[in-house]
Amino acid sequence: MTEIGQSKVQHGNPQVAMVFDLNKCMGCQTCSIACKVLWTTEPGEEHQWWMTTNTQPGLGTPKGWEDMGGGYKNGEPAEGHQPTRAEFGGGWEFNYDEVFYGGKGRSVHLAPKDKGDDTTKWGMNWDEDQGSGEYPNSYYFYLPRLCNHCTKPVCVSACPSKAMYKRTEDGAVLRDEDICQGSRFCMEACPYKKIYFNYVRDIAQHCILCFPRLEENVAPACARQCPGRLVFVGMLDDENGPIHKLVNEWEIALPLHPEYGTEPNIFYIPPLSPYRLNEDMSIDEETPRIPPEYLESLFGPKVHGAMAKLKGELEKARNNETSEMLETLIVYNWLDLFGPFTTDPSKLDRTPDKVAVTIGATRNKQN
Amino acid sequence: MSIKIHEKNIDINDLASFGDIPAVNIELTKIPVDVQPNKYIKNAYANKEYGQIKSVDVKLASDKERLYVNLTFADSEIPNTEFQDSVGIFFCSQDGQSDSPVTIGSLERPTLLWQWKNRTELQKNLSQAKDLESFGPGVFIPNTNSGSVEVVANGEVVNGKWNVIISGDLLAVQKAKKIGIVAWDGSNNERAGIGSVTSSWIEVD
Amino acid sequence: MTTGELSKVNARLSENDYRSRFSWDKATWSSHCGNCLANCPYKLYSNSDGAVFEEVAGVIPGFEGIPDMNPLGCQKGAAWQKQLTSKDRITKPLKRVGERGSGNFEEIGYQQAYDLVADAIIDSIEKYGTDSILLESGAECGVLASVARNKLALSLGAIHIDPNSSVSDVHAGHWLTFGNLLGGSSADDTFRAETVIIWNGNPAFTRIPFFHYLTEARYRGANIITVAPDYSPSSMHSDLYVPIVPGTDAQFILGVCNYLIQNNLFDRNFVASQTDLTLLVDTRTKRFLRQSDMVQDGKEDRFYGITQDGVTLIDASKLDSPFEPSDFLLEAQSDVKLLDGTTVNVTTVFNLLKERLSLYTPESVYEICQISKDVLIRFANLVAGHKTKVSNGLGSCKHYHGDLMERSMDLLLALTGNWGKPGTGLDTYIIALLEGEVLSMFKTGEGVQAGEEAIEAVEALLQVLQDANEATSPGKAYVELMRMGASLTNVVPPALYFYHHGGFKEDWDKKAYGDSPKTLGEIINEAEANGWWEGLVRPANHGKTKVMLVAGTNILRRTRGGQRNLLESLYKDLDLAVTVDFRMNTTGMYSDIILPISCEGERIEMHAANSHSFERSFSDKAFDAPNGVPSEWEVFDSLAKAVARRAKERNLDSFTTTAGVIKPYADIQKALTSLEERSDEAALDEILRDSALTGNIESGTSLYDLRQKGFVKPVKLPDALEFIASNTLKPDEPFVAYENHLTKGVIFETLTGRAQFYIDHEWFIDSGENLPCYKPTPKMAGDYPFRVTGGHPRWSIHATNTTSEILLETTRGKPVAHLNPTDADELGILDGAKAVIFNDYGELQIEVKLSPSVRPKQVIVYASWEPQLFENWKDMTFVEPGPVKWLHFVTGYGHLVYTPMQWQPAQSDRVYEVGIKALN
Repeated sequence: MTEIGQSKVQHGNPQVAMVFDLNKCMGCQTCSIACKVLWTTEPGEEHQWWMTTNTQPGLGTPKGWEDMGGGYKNGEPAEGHQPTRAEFGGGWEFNYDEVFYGGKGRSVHLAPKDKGDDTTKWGMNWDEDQGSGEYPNSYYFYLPRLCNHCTKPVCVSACPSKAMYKRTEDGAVLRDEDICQGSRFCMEACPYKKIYFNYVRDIAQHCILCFPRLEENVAPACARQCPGRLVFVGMLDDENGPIHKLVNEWEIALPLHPEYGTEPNIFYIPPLSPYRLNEDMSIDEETPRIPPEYLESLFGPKVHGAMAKLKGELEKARNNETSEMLETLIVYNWLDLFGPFTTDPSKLDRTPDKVAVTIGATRNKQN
Repeated sequence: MSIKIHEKNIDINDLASFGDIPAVNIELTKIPVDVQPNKYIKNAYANKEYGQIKSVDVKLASDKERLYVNLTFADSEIPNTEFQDSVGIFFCSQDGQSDSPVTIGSLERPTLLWQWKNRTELQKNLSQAKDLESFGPGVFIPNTNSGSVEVVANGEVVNGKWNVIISGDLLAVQKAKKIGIVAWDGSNNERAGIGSVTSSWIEVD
Repeated sequence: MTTGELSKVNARLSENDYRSRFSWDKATWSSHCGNCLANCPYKLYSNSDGAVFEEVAGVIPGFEGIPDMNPLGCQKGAAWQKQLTSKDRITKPLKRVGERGSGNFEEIGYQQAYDLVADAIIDSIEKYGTDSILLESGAECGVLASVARNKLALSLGAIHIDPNSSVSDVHAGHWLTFGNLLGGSSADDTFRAETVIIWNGNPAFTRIPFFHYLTEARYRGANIITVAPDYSPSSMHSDLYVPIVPGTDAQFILGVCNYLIQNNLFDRNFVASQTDLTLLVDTRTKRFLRQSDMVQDGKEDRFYGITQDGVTLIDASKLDSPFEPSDFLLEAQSDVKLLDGTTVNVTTVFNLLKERLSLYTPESVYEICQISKDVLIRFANLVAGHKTKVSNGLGSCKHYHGDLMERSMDLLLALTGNWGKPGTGLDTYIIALLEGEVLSMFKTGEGVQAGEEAIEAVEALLQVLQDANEATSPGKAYVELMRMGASLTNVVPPALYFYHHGGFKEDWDKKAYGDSPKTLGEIINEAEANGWWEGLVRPANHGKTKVMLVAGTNILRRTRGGQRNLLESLYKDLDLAVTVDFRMNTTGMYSDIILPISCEGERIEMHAANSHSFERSFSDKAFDAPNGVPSEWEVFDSLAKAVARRAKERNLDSFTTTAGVIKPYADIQKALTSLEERSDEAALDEILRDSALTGNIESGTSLYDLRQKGFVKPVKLPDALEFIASNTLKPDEPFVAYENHLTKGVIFETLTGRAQFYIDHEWFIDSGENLPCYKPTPKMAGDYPFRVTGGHPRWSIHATNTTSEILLETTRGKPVAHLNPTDADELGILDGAKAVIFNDYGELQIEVKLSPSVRPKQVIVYASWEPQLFENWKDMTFVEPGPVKWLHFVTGYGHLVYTPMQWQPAQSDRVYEVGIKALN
């Protein structure tokens, strides 16, 4: 029997990457909603939030995902847990009719219907703003997450049907939904637990990196709709672009859980935090509010260098010196966030007829 | 082992329509870990118990056009959550006679697989029928060479036992002459190559 | 087959499904939620089935060297179209058939609905007079809806409750200091600050589109400070988090001010030129030394300071430059001989202040606020000598002593020279109406000529007001104009309305809050008896409200003590309750008739604007509303016509308004337009053309231009804003409020014409609030261990989005009370468990969510959850005491005169006390 092994690591192909600056994220979920309204409103997609922002530290979504395994250990794909529908929670149906028009008055109130499947006991943002630590030195920050469109996508290699692939055009990790048999090994293998199951269509689904937008040079919806202006999009190897500088040159943008071994293409600027306070409420200049070991558990050992660099540059800015790094992070012109993907979608002709023609062309090219 | 096709008109919606056709009890074994199609599954399932459905009672019937397969097997008492119970019949390829059926075909010699999946989590008594080509355990893709006879299926639990009918083109079995059975206990998260299968081909008379 | 061949089976054809999802027939302009005021420009992508998705437009041009404003948006905006297809949408007129609140409705036709409302209005006018009709117009509207409601109300002589003070958005403290509506700078000015203080607000929740200026300012080198009881979601983006005992902010700020003065870290020139700290006070009476004290026929509003030449009358018509030394001394005193021959000692306000502040030692700050001296000094040094902006939310004005917090905040800014310059001042908001909107209320007909006549009338009126007194600035004249408008528009201050009609009488007749010498009831009765509020007690002669129309608001949710009181008072008197809304809510549930309206994408509308951005965005019509639901303009026009028609059918010719004006019923027909038919399009076009006529927007601008560009940006601010924010809009840089006070010497709208920290009204002197001070929040609801805070949530604009399925998904799907885990431990309450919140007023059930970022003994329940989300619909209004502060009944003192939207008592809802227990 021929082994269908790991996917070939496709270094050298163009890779779209994103950098999320956590120092600008206010946890507003506009990214989540932007994604939701565009991509996951069909039956079976109610509970699917390909883009989510969670409070860290926290259990996030699906509940306790960081303890669910998957990814690579010692170069080998490691066992992972398939997150359950209850662990994702959400996808609620509310009892509007009963409350507003049922004639029952105050005896009923608006709430998610309990379907006996425990989905009302967790949701995509259940532990919002809870965090950790002790008052007044408690701490938390927001972490937006989507599929990492990894360079070594363990999900792709775990699929027995070979339904999954990494696009050569942009590095997006996708799934041929006509082939997918719903066996969900991708969900087990993905260490970020960012793959959802469509119980109606019996297929798995996840973030598509907004490839239909990328094909039109439009930035992904989460990035373009972000009011905090914190999402950089661009080609990872574009040496003139901010992403390359942030990731490779200044090394302040880091992948989440690099130890998972899948080589993510989504990067994060780690979070600063206000001074800690001593017991007598004086300022503690030495101890960071967010424990560095916690940040290391998320972003790996490189986080310490990144934090030092960030703090050093801030100090420069406060002394009225110019910091190229901070000037880059400020982003004076909104469109500068998006690399080559600056097209305004409203200027496109995407009438269904026109799109059908495009689809026809794609089909011909692929065949 | 062999099994006979009985001439009988079967109504896919009437799970009792096989009547008193004698059933053949087929034993199933766990699909081995070492034949699993990729490293992830091999690593993750090396130490897992699976292949919980140990045997299936099989009846075959046909009219002139269709083969009807009646499969009954015990339903686990553990409730299904993520995965649903499922069973399939697959057809030995012409040149695959020397292969073991435990792999459910191979890349070189795929087999045709008709699969029934219980979908009652969506709607009571909803069955899903899949017409697949299997290139190995779980290496299933939709059959791209389907003829005009659609694969259909139906099933329900009666007294703790699944009673399932799968039906498709009679030609499949006429060509193959040998079949295999594969089953998945959804309550044990079985699916794809994680299931139980016939360890030797079943001759069809 | 080989592995490679198997891979080829994967033809990637399902990619096409996603390409198809990213398709549409047209992209039209959109914006949402007048309630929000950010009015972010969006594009609505739609096809023949309706909306596909909505996305930020990102079209606002920026300035060189300042990050632009784009994209402007939030999750509520992105989800807006989903709310419109949600099951709480109303798409047919409804008539109540069961008990109010039962949810028993039947669908009726539009004409039947309009006639039922019209008949009730006519009955009410005939039986009880025009002020028995209450037309509550809330903030959920665009320009057309707002104009439509107001025009019908005006035409009928209906009353309305002051919309700003009824939601306690009155910055009483800033009013006391500046005497105006508070000119905020534009949001992009924050980028130029060196220190930003987030204070009584949580911009990460409430100013999502503009929050980036804080993070960008930080990268530019600014220090961000948050002062809050809880480690709020805004705190995480700060450099210094100052945890404070809830409600004690004034103590801390005054401690900082004391430190600044003691260490000579304050801007003497700024203080001397901009504020009243150089003014002289009679140490015996504690009143300002006035010209009337000194010379025959001297004026009451002319004041003195001390120069090298001794006691000198201060020029009331202008301010000195803050950039050079003032002739007037801060630390001076003198004996003066008064007109009556007595000699008295006078001293500067600065001297009095310094003496007062000396009590605010670091030790006392630590004791009261639990903030260390170390933090206080760090804070002081980050403000002194630094361009400092205070991001002041609408939280301070909801504290009982919020005025004292705000006056202290203003003092801090004054001492450090922090207004009128780039990167300084208060980052708050002011609604920037287009001139055309204002004119539409004055116009007697349609067209350019009517517009010009209206402009002339307003200008002439302003001139008259200004000519009356040399110490009246255009700003003062405009505030005066607003006061005149109050009587025209039949507005009633909520404190008076809720006392008489809203169920607060019994409580307020019993209680004297804090150091009030009398009960609130006694204060109100005295104020009314003295005629202080003459003409504002509506309905007149304590009549009843018989017909209530509620549009764009949710009175049962938003009123402090809402359901608890209103259902037992106001609602008992109502013959007919009508809701005009696009979605079902609590007020709708208690209505007799519900009139549905169309919303974004289904009709045209221009959106509200505030000083954060100034642009006015546009929503175009992309598709028909479900079941042909009409626009709000059409609903109110239909109601107007129904009143006229039903009156004619009932052989009624005319009616007399409560103000005594005799009006033909037939005139109501023309309430919205003098023309037979007038579309939304024509009405909006006229507002734009009138605005262009005044120079407010580019000459010749019409609806065509708005539709092309998607927004209209003023080239000149409306007069009101220009006067009050005291600056002009410049084409190439962010807007800075109060600049003219510095550069042109324009006076403030206060009694003294200066930023005024000394209030020499008798009540203020007696209560010790003649100068800023700290007072603890009085007990309002009994003796209970927890203090409630809250404020605007992240997930909704008021209640509008709280029943949106998609937005509820981003929460626990229910309201929660945030508690500190140590408190919860003591109470035996686990995360996710239900608790009972209770006090002297009542109780409610709510799920508890634990976070160590909540201060011990603090409980946070963010506001606005639709009551239907609570067990038994009992929300926080069941425990909200909602008292007003007695001092705010002062009137007839300089700028302390009732002013619509501004100076008046407003209910407080912060740091009241509750008990919490586990639900058994």
